[in-house]
Amino acid sequence: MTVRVEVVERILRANDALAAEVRALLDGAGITAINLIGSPGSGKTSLLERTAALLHPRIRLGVIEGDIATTRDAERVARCGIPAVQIETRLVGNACHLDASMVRAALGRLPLAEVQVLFIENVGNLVCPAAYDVGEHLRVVVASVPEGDDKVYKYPSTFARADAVVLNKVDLVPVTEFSLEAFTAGLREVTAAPLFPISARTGEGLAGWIAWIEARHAGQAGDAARSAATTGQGPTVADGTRTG
Amino acid sequence: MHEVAIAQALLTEVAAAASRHGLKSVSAVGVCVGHHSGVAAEALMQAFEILREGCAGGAVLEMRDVEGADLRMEWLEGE
Repeated sequence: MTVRVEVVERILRANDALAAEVRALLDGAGITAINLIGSPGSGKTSLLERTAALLHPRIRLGVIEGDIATTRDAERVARCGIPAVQIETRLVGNACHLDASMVRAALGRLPLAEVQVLFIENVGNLVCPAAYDVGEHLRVVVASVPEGDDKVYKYPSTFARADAVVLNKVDLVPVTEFSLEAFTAGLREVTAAPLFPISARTGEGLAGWIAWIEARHAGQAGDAARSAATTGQGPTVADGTRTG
Repeated sequence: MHEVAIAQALLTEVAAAASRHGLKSVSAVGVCVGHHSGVAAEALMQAFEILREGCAGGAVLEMRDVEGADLRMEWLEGE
C-alpha cells in the first residue's frame, strides 16, 4: 500500500552541517571568513591583490582559491606574502562551485594561527556558488563594469544573498555604456547591502572596501571572543585537535 | 550545473528518509524550491531523472515554487 510521509529536510543538510563545523572552527580561531563570488574575469583575484597591499599584515590575511584548473590564482596571491591554498575542483569531482567539505579540507593546509581574515575566492561563476554555504561569515559578490549594468536583474538570487557588493573596473565606465544608476537601482530591488564601486587596477574607491572589512572583522572577532568566554572553548582544527 | 550535485544530495536524503520510514521503494518525492535558492527547477528535474536509482529508481519529482531561498525535501510517497 502506498503511503505518504512528511520528511521536511534541507536538501543540502549534509553540506550545511559541514559549513557549521567550518564556521565554528573559524570562530574559535578568531578568523572572519569572506566568500567572494563573481563571474570569471570580474577581478576577484585582482581585488585580493589590492586588498592585500592595503591591509596585510596590519590585518593578517589568508586565501583559499577555487578554480576548475591550475594553481595560478593561489600563486598570484602568494606573491603578495599571503598564505594561500588552491582547490582545483576538477580533481575533486565537482567543477562549478566550492562546497563546505572542500573548504574544510583546505583549512588543514593553512596556518590558521597566522590568519585573521580568510578570503575564500569561489569558482568564477555567478550561479552555482550562491547555493552553497561554505562556512563563511560574509558573502561578497564581485561584479564588473564590462559585464554590463543588468547583472542584478539576471542573477537576483546571487545578489540578494550578498552582505556586500563590489563593482570592479569603474575606471572603464567612460568607455562603456554602463550606467551606475541602473546597476544601483537593480541592486536596491533585491538588497540593501553596501555597494563599493572600485577599480582594482587604479585603486579608486578601495578605502571604503578596506574600512568595511576592518569593521566587519572587528565585529566578528568581538562576537567570537564573547562566545568563547561564555563556552570556555578554544579553537580546534577539523579533526578535533586543539590549537590553542 | 550544480543541480547535478543537488540532485545527488537529494537522492541521499531520500534513501535515508525511506530507510527511516521503512519504505522499500519510493514512487514520488516532494520538494520546495525557493526563488532565491539559486536552483533552476528544470535542471534539477533533469538531473534527478538521470541520477535516480536504488529505492528511488522509479520516483518522480514534484516541485513547489516558494518565496525566499528554501531548498527542502517535504514528503515521500512509497511502499
